[in-house]
Amino acid sequence: MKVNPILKRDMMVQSRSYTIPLVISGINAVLFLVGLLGVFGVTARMQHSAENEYEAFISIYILVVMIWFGLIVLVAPSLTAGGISGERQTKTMDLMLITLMKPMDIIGGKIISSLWSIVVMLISCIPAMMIPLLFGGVSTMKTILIMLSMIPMILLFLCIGIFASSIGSTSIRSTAIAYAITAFICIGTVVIAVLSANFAGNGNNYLAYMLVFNPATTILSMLANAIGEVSFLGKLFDALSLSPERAFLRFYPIVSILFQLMLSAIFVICTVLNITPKRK
Amino acid sequence: MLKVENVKKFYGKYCALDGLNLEIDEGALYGFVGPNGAGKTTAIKIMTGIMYPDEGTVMIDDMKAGTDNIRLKRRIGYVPDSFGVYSNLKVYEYMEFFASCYDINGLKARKRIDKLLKYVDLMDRSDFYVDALSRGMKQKLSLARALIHDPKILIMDEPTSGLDPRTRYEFKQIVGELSDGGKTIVISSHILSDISELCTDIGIIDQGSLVMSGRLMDVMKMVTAQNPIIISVASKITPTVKFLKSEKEVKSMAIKGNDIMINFEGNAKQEAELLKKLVAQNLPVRSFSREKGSLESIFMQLTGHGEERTLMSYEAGEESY
Repeated sequence: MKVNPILKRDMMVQSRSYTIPLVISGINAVLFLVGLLGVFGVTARMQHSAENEYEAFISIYILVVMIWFGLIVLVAPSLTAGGISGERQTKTMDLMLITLMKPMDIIGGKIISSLWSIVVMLISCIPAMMIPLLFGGVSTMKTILIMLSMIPMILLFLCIGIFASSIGSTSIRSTAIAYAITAFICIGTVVIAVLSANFAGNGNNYLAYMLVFNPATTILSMLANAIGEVSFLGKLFDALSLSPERAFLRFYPIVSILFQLMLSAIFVICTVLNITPKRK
Repeated sequence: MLKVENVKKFYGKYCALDGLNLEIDEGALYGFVGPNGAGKTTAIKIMTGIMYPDEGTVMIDDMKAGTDNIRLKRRIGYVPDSFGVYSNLKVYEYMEFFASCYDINGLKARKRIDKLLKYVDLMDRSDFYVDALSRGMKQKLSLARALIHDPKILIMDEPTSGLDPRTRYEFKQIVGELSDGGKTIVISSHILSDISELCTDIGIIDQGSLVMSGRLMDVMKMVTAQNPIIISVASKITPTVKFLKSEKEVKSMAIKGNDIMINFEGNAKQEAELLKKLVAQNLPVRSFSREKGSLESIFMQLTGHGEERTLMSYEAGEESY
């Protein structure tokens, strides 16, 4: 089987670097710390009060998952942000472009090698994320589904990184551009939806539909489903002056993941166009 | 083999290539010479397909660059002016990576890599990190990389700049052998002595267009005819200078010791006439000859620095007229 040369090379280079193991250790350390401290805190309180506080464990679980998501938002774009600009800086981009490799092969290799690193991070974090669930609350199946749903979201952040890398002249600039786009998608869409709610008529704030591009809303909606808070999305859109169809709310995770995959594809296409030699 | 037709390239409003025309025959060792900013690297990037021209075409073996990229890419090897380094790759891995970029894998790749590393004398460094190699070794590795898919045309941008004399010599030996092996080679360089030693053909580019191209020997002969005449006199120089000043074909003069260098604008017959007159005037002429053409003098003349060349020949104790 033919393996993408960039993927093969990047995996080899990553295996020699301390960066990924350090990031994995750091993320796990944070998640274990939060999870364990939370669980110990709640159990200690339960021992004193003699009351069941199972909801507190669920809250810790949500906190751990959202911290994990936040850390991934910080790590993922930077993994690919040096992909193209780094090659340009080391003057190896031209060398690759004159080979039989197509721009899509170059981009694909870089995204998949970074995706692989993050999937390793994701798998390594499963024990830490399961700590708050020692007393139950969310089924294993739903936890696995949440994990799997994170892969398209991670892909979006990696595609943002590679796109930024194709427009930034240096790795530092590319990383800054990647974080700016990520911030717009994760925070900017929320700000726009909230601000437009003040101007739009009741139920007509169509700008709130932008939230489908925001992976945070996807993960929140999945977490809400997992813990039985099925009305979470309805309340969220009500607060934003939008009354979507019931089917939209029901299938929101799938719809938003599809939109995010579409956005990822757009970023990849733009990157291909950016690195392909231009003709008039 | 390689034909560049009326190629234009703009960077914003700046015209880097202004209707470049170039033809390189199969098996030629073509030296591409020009001052900084003349458009050499842009032309080379267009030839390799890394960059497209804004106007004009590049034909390689009757294939238009950009339309049949895969077949063209198999034909072209490229050594850039700056060496691209992957700091975490070893020499062998670096070669394996580029071999796989050309769909050369497994045993075939290993055989080819072994052959090339032996060829450039880097086999004993195959386990070294690329970053740890010296500049000369990196350049040899770059050459080996460019040859990994056995291209018919090898295009090199300033391959010998920054190399020590020994590595430069070794590099030139390798390039000469490759040329003898039938490869068409294009070299751009600032080191004119390297070009004049190595190349069979030459192209001089200035301000984005080719000012001269052809067989190196033909170009040398042609330019030699435009070089200044050096007249050596045995004794007092003043009568000879006075006489030369009266000749209308003598446009300028420079003197050093008993040598008079004149810019003579006349044909071979008028040149012979001048010598005849000097002898007839009983002037003590010891020698009368055209300055021999060198690539440096050609380069200076064609890139608009002919006057500088005149002064460079007579530096100390000179007296200009």
